[in-house]
Amino acid sequence: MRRIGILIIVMSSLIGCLPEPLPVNNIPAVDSKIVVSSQMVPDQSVAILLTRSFGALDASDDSDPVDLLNQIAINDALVVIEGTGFVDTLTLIDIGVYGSTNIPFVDEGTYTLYVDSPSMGKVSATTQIKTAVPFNSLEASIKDTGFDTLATVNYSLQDIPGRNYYMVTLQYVTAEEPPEPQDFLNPNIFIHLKEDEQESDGEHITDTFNALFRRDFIPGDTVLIQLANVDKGYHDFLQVRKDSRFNFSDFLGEPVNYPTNVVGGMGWFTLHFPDVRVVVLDE
Amino acid sequence: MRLVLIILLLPGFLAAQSVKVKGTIGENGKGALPLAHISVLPDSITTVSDAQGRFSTVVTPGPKRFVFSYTGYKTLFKTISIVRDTTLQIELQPDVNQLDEVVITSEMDLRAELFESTRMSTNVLLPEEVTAIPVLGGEADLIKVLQLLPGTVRGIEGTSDLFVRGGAADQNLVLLDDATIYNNSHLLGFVSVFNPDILESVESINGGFPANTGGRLSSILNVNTKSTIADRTHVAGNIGLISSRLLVEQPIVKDKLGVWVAGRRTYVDQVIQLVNEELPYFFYDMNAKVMWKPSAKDDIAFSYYQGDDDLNIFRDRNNDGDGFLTSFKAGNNNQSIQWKRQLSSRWNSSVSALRTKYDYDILNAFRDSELKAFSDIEDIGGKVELSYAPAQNNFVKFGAEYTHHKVSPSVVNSSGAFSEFLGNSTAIGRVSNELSVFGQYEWTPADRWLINAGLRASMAFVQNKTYWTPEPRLSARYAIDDDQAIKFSYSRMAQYMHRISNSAATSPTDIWYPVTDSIRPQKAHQFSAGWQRNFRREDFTISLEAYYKPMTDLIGLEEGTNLFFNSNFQSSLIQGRGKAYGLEVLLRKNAGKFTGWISYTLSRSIRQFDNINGGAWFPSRYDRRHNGALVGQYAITPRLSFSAVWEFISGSRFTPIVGQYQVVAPSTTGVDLVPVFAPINSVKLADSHRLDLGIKYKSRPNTKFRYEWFAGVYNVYNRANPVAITVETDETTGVLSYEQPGLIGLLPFISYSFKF
Repeated sequence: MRRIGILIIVMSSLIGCLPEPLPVNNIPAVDSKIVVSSQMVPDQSVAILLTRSFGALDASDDSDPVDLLNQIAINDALVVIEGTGFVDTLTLIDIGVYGSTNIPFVDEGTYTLYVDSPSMGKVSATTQIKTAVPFNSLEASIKDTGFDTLATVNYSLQDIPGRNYYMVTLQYVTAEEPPEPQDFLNPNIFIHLKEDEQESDGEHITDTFNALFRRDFIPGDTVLIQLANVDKGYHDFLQVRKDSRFNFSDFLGEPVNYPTNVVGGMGWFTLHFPDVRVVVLDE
Repeated sequence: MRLVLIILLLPGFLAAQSVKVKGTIGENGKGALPLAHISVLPDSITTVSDAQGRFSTVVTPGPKRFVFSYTGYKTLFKTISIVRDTTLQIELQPDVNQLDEVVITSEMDLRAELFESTRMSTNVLLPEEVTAIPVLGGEADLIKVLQLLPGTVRGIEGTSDLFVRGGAADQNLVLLDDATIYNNSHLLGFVSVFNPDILESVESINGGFPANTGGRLSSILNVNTKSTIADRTHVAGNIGLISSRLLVEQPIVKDKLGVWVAGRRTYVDQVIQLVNEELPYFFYDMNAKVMWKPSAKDDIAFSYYQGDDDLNIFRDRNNDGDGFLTSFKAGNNNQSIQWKRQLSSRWNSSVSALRTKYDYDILNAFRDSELKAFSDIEDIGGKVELSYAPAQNNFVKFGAEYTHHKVSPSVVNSSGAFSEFLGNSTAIGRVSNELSVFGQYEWTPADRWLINAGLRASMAFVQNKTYWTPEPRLSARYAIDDDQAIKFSYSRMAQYMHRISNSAATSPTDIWYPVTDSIRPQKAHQFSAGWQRNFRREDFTISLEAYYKPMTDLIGLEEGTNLFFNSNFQSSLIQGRGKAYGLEVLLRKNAGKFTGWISYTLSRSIRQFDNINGGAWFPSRYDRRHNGALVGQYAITPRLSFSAVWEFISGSRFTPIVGQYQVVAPSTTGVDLVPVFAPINSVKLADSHRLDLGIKYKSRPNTKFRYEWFAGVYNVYNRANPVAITVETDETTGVLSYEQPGLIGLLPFISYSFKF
């Protein structure tokens, strides 16, 4: 009995009382800025997404992406892309999305984006299109280590002359049920970055990586894998995203503001042609 | 040749100018007091009386301040002008009100000596002081007591981090019997590695550094273990909630040779096992010391320390024995041997040889896949010091110090599936050699003035480069009267070994990294000025100090760099500048039924790195404007005492997420939310304050078996002392809000100590 009493005292004192967190009332207000992001599709068209930055308390991973986009989209902008020998004005094709199919994209060409929004102001950004590099071969399979389930990807490509930065991304599409709208917000895309070596110019490069499969495998599970040759700036932007993956805790993580090539704004203006493949995973 | 002759003949020549002071010390009408302490200032001579209460020493002629002290008696101060051989008869009065005899008499010796000398910005502690106040888990911890004194602030609540006078966590040289302790904490920083049972004295030098100390920019923490040969077998122990400890002191040859061994181990894992649960973590410390006094003039001591943290987690998802192992092991291993010899009445020497090792190993393993990270640092070195008192109020000290550092910083090895996530380390082993020579001279240039001037020349030799830094030191004391003095000091400090930490908190997995061809030593100037006053009748002292410390080549990491399993951290190392300045006040009541202190620091600490915050100056993480503590003990009866600590610290600085934006994900569908952080360290966390209470009950003092119960409560009013600003979601409404969580709330403790 005495022993139990001592034990209760010991245990209760070890557990202690977790104090109530304190409120916060001194967070500085942030200026809302124009955010640029872009995507090219293989049919030689480009889509520019224009939004504004917002507060940390305005949305989370659980927010509805459509509602959020409705709140932050910039729909009043004049959007122009200028390259060597041409100027093209983009059309608003959806909420915050501006597109064009008339831009002559040339490998290694330099393109500048100009945005003029009466409500948000002006920004500009410049990027370079890198020569597209497709997969030579691609295999993906599922591997159960007994502790984690991994998607193993083997691929190869033909390296092109010069310094190149290859981005390979993997996105899961479950076979079980259609994706919910929330699945499109922070979709946990696995990014694999590969810098070529000087001596690999013109050589066949093979590479392998494993990506953590975030749910139990179901036969028929599918992944979207894409390869793109991206410019160094976008590569560095993605590298920062990758490096932050070990920020397990809000207070032990190292704060970093991501780089941007948008003058006066945020985000990244990139133009690259991806080679997109759909792979049904086998065990 | 002439110089050599002068040096050789000088001691003999000057010895002729010395005079002998002898006498007896006893209690009025009740006979001799053996082993009473006698200190002579400014000669810095300390001696003890023999079994008949007799003492004898040699001093230079001139006015001297004598301090006579003995356990349980009021300390006696006497200023006597000694011009010829003198005999003194000293009578001490019993101190009936003393709360803790040993503390007060010993502390008074050290503090009186500090007051009379040019030294400033120095805090001294004794073991009884360390164990007297309520602390987290009841685990007596000298670092936690230091954090309650001026100039020192802590990092995260409850941890043993030290940030001294605006410096960084790596700028404190922690020495255990002269050997460096690279990781001073267990339990992820919440318990310091110093077993309180083995302490003899603790000295934290935060400014006005003597020339024989160096190696770090902000502080030197000297932890000295027991050095007295026990007169018989003594056993002491403590059973607490976090750990239990035991000390055995054993004489081998009376007054000549003795040994003590002490151990401490966590108690928590064993307690948890009683309820059939498992907590696969423990830490332990093992200290030992052999003391040999081959003659009256020689003291030789060998000190040993080994301490480890050990965590082993095995997760078996399918219960088939085929699981995932995570293990973490970190530990210090130190040995030092010191030989102190009185060469003559004026010459003293000290020679020491040291070895220090700290390493950690992290292993994650599943079948044939392994991810290992390990780091170690090993130092082998030595120090020679000679001191000489050539004439009245003159004192010379000189010597040299050498350390060979061997470092394997953050080696990461991965195999199997892990190699796909993390590459192998590119960090290579480093070797550096540090050499310092130093000399200092103390003299009285005019009435009331005492000056100590010194020079330390420090050097570090790395692969293709040699760094050297002249480190001038100057301290001065002007005596306004017997009880008041003004002091000034200037120190130039250089640091050749850096600790690479996450900006928020230190951890056992921080990486120690020496200067290299490209990483320069950190350097600082420090200017201090202070005023000290003793109120003898009321038994309290007050000191007021101001300091200014510009720092260069501080070590840092590029924004966003994570050290966790980082195999290429070297490419992210950057160096920048810092400035710190402040004002410190300490009011201390030293004796009587009520003892304690009030401390207050007003300070500012800022940093500038070209690659951080756009190159603009920003506050350091632990730039805490106000830092104060009220510490008190009250002896209700001679056996029952009450203690309380109230601490107030301005909130530390933090970089919260203040915004976010949306970009197209680097795939075919979806968008990513990207966080936007505030400018670095631009937001102040809420102020921290906490009340701890304790009550101590002791056995009768004259019994053979003595015990103590110490019970109390940490953080009585359960205040959250914030460590971060986080974004939380209300589970009912889904509304997001900011919060400042604290780590440790109200926590009762109880411990039982014994000695016989």
